[in-house]
Amino acid sequence: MKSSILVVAFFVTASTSRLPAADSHWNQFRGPEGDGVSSASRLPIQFDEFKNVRWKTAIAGSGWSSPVIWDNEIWLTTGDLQTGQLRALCVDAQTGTITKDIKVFEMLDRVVDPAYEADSPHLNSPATPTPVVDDDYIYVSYGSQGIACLDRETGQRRWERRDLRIYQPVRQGSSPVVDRQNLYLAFDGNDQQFFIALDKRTGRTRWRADRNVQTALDAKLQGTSKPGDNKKSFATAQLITVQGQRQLIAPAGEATIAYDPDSGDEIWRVMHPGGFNVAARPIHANGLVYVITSGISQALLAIDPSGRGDVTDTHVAWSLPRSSPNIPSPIVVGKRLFMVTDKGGIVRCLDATTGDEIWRERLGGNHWASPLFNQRRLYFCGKNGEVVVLPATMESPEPEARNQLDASFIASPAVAGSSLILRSRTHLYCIADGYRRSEEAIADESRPKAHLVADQSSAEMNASKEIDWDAIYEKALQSNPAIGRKVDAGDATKAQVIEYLQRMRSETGKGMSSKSKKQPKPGATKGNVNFYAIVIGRLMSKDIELGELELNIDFVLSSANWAKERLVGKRVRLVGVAGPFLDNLLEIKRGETVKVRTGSYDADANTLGFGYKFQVLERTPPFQPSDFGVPPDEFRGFQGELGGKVVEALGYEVLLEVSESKSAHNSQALDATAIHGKRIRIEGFYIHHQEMFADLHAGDFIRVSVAHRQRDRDAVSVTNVLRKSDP
Amino acid sequence: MLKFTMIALMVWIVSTGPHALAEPIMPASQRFVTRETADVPDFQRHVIPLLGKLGCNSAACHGSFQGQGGFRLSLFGFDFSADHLALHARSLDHSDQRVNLDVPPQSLIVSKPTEQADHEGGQLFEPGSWHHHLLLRWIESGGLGTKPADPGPAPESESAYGHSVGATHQVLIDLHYEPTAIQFEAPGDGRSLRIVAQWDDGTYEDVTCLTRFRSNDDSVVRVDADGVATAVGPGDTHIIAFYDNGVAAIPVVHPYGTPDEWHIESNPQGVDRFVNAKLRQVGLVPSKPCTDAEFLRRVRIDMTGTLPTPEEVTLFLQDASEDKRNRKVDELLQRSTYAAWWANKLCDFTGCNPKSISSLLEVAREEGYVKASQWYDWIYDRVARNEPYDRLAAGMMLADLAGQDDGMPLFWKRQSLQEPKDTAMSVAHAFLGIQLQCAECHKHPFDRWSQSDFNQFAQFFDSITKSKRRAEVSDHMELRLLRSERIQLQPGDDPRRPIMEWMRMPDNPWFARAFVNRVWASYFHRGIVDPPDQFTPANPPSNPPLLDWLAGGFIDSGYDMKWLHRQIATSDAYQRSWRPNATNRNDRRNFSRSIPRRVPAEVVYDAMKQATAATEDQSEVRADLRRRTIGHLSMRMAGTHAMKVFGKPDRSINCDCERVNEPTLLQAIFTQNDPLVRMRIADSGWLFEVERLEDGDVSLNPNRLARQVWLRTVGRHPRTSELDRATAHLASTSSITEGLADLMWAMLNTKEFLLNH
Repeated sequence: MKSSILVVAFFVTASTSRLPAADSHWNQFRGPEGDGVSSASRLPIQFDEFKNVRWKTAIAGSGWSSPVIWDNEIWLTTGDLQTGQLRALCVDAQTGTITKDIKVFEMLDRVVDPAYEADSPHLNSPATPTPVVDDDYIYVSYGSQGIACLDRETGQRRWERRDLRIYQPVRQGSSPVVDRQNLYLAFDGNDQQFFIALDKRTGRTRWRADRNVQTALDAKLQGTSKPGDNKKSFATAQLITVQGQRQLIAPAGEATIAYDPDSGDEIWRVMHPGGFNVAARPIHANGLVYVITSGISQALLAIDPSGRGDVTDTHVAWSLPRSSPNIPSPIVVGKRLFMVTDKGGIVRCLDATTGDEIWRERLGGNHWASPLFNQRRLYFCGKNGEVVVLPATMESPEPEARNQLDASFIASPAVAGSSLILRSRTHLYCIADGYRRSEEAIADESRPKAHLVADQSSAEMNASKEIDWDAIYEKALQSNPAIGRKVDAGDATKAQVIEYLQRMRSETGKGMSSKSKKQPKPGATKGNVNFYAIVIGRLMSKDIELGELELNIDFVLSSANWAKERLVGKRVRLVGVAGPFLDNLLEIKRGETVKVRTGSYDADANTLGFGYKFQVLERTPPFQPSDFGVPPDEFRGFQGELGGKVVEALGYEVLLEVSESKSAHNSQALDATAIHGKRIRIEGFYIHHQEMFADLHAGDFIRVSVAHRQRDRDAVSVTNVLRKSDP
Repeated sequence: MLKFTMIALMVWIVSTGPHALAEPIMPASQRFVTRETADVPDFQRHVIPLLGKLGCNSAACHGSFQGQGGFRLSLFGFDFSADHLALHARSLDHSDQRVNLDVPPQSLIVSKPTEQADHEGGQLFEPGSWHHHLLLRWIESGGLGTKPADPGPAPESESAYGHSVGATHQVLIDLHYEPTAIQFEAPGDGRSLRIVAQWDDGTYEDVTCLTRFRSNDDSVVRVDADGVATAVGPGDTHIIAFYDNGVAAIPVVHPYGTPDEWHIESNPQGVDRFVNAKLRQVGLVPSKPCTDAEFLRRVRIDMTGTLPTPEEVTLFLQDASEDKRNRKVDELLQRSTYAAWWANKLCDFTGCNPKSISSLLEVAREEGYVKASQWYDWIYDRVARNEPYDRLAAGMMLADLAGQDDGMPLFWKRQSLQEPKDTAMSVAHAFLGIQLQCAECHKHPFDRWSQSDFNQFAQFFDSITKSKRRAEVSDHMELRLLRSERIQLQPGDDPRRPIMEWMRMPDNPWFARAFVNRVWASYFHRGIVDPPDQFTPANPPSNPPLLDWLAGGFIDSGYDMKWLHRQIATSDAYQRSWRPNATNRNDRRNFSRSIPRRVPAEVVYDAMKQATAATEDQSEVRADLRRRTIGHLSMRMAGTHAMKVFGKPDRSINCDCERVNEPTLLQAIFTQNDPLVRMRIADSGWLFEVERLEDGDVSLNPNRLARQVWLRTVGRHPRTSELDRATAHLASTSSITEGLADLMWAMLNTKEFLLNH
């Protein structure tokens, strides 16, 4: 084992290199083309828990969705039945660090017939649909629980849909598909079955096509314990082009239907009675579409997609009953089709043009993950944690490697550069040649625990331990501005910071090992940093050509605590105004007050950079502290409940016009009524009440509990209570 | 019909074109005149062209993406398999068949267009006509389709086609036409066209009755469905004939008159030889040479995007030497503003858009503008030192994507290039003046490119577009380069290299032509091919020898951009007056006069600043490129109100049409009221200067000051009547400064200021 330490030292240096470019956008279920084929020049072949593991990160909750990748980011979804939360995670592909942990939804109540209760937990997870990343945005689906579009950079949601509620006793399996305009989703439940296209920018419905499949099974299942069981399906659609026309191949219960993606018009359908619970994603190759049905009559169908209407009798080129898998999708390479059965792991190689079997090989184990193809090799990830590498040869092959990991695989593998990204039921692995995990790392390996969230339940938990983590968090923000910046930039949530602080405390308790000294870097105000803030000040000078101005700053709306000291009352230059905002600048006169959103701050030059998103540069009335919610001194230190009218609800902050207050016993305010009739800025809605925040609008009357723990800050933090009220 | 045939035959016999080879097959209109014929029509050669000619597969009818009445044909009819399938599919309500092999007359495709069954498209031919017989004969003979030829390497061509019946797809070798040119003498004159298709099996067929015709200018010539051209009025244009994938452009000239007075030099040089030859052919008398003041302002704007200073105007007008215009051209080509304005134009052509090249993560730090400025500077440096154009283009085409050479890689890194085809379209537009947009989805009848041509060209850019970091192919590929040659690519090859080599070949049909034509279009407000980025067979050059000579000379000069500018700017054609004469009032394509055009957005913005600047700032306000909209501000100013109103392109689409040079009402409102104009006058350094003198009780000469306003805005001395009105106004205001401000505002609002004339 001595030698392994040397190896560690060597490879840590190598770890600064960047991942190569191939497959850099493994952005959807089964990769760029949705067919499980990776174009990476080389992927690791042999590995185990030590060898060729670049990093391994615990993933909390339960999620069988496959990882998707965009540049250096790996995105996953997960759900937690205990906390009732559905989350999206972003993991840094270089380090394995979770850089974003976003609570997307609170689970809605789910009614499940007793007939399914026994099988649904092990048949599916609350987060099985694989997200899809498209440039700036990531689209996450939890089926009936909701669909959301998140900004990849800020983690904020662009839109959400929670109105598509159907009865899915075994939850959702179908992943969303995206093209230039639309996001496509299948909803094949027991009670309703439809396919829907949403405008990917707004989430609005573009079209919706009812499946409209009737078969003899419908009547047979009527009156049984599982009526409509034959309507369920879990398959992800595939976009293809046939003779210049785009088609969306969308398997449903007992039928596979091709739609015109632009209009939703049905192009053709093939009926496969008894073939439901479809899970495999279709593949288009050799002029054929390969569909694998499941349910009570499983089969592999090869369909000629050039037909119109019901082509069951005319366009099924060939079909292979029974020996096809129930769950994993196939791989098609040229004229060969490979597939692995879910039970027993029997791999078959077929002639893809005729369906004739060329060879078969038993791997053993159960296989739910879809295989991967790279450089003439097939990768099969089993539920038993074994990753078998099989040469894709013409003759029955011998496995090239059988890699056993301490894992269970259901999610399908992904590729980032020349690394394999494998998601087990508990962890995310980055498998890359030339790396090695240390014994210590493996020994220290944490099993994922339930999410620590700073909501009521964790507050209770904290109370029981008599540690006020909220207060420690606030203190940490003061003492370490880097944390504040991270939180401001959306790089970390309060929950993560608290988790970090807890880890630090426990580690300090037992003596920190040298390798885990990964503290946030100090030096808050050096160099050019991200600084998302609203700045209000009087215009002192402007250059409408170079896009520069100087402000005498009256007020900075930011939670970065250095900002006030550095900026307020100072004359500061702001650069980078361009395009239509130059017109705004043209019309604002010197001496007038300007409201501008910044994006960066260069501490050395004491210069602000104009924001690049949600841009604001406008004339505003002269600064009045009360307009912006700067509290009177008598109110500072308040804890308790406030009631009033929402003036503005933006960026997870509320500007409240207060009409009443109710102090808590621990309130430190000298006179809570001093705030009556004035405005106060309340922040922290990103952590508490994220969903309800979306429903808050100017003019609403609310009651909200707040705490002003840092007396010198101008904003108060929301705590556990938030409800709408009557005026 | 008989008469038409006679004429056609006579034309055929008389002509001795190079293609008078085998006797062509008789036209379908004759062969199917009787119902009893034994001839069998061919799906590709006859049925689809007939449906096309009748308009069945147009976007408004069954060629629409939704089809019409449940029946959908491929747009313009180039998907023979899909069309054949559609024709054989049952109608929407399943009651009738479009093609009824058992009872052919009951087929909807004959009962609908004859209106024996209700047809929203109306009656398209008479029962008993040859059209009717042709379709009936096709159905009777089995309604066969066209078998795709060798599928080739196009990615989609492998899709199964289960109805492989009928003849194999044939290749149209050429579309011959008679006469090869039409010369009309008087309105009402008529000529019949005859179109003969030459197929790869060696047969020739008269396809006039199946050819679609279009006139490129209905005020010159009209053409009917039978190919009979009728003269409408004087001018020159082309009749375009389309059949299968062939396009023929037949030149039509109808002289404006037989001019007896010529101001043309007897021994023209350079481009004038070709321009004047065409003018004689079309019977146009060119306008007289423009005045010196007109020339100076015009060439200053076109060449340097900058107004002349008042001193420059005065000196130029005083200069009595013969060669002062040529010397001015040489002088301007040395100026930084020449490099700035043409770097700006080249940024237009190549799509330098800050939003598209900012990385998503770093934009907060102005990365997009910084990178766009690098792109601009890179071009500026090369224009300034007059690097040959082909080297400039190669610097972008072959740039190392990691920035390890002195090329400009940002062209390839734009986020707008999401797919290889986006890159292919951008390269074709930027360097070849070709629009490939249509070929992305279907072959456009007016253009030569098929989807396969397009897909193969797009494959070159596969690796670059997907990684934006590597320009090397990973697999062995053999690709057709826009129908020119087959390129073998080995793993590791830079796929851009063979394209650049091909572009640099002297016989490349577009690379040099596209550039000289764009430069020409900038000087004349009209390309020799116009629009300048539409090099298509249906849009031929107005003066082919001129374009050939200019492109050839440009290549021979070693792609010397200054040579090109000099050829154009020193020509008589460029230096004509905008005032039309009796013959050339309606001419816009033969360069017989100068066409007044709106000054480009960037130049308007800068010109307002120059016109109002203090005397001592006159040269700095022109030369400080950091603050010129034709210079570095070009990128930052894009998207401002002023730039939108005056049509500065965003550089977000592949089209020269993105720059709009048309006058609009909003522009008039802008020059009258916009805060920017008010600010320019209120903050005018020159008016401050005058005000200081006036406050200091210095006696001012209103005459001289008013004259300054003309020199500053329109680059000439005022006429006596104009000067009298101006001085009268200056005498009526409370101060001269106030009067001058009015005068300045009025001049900024004249057409003369906003136009380059």
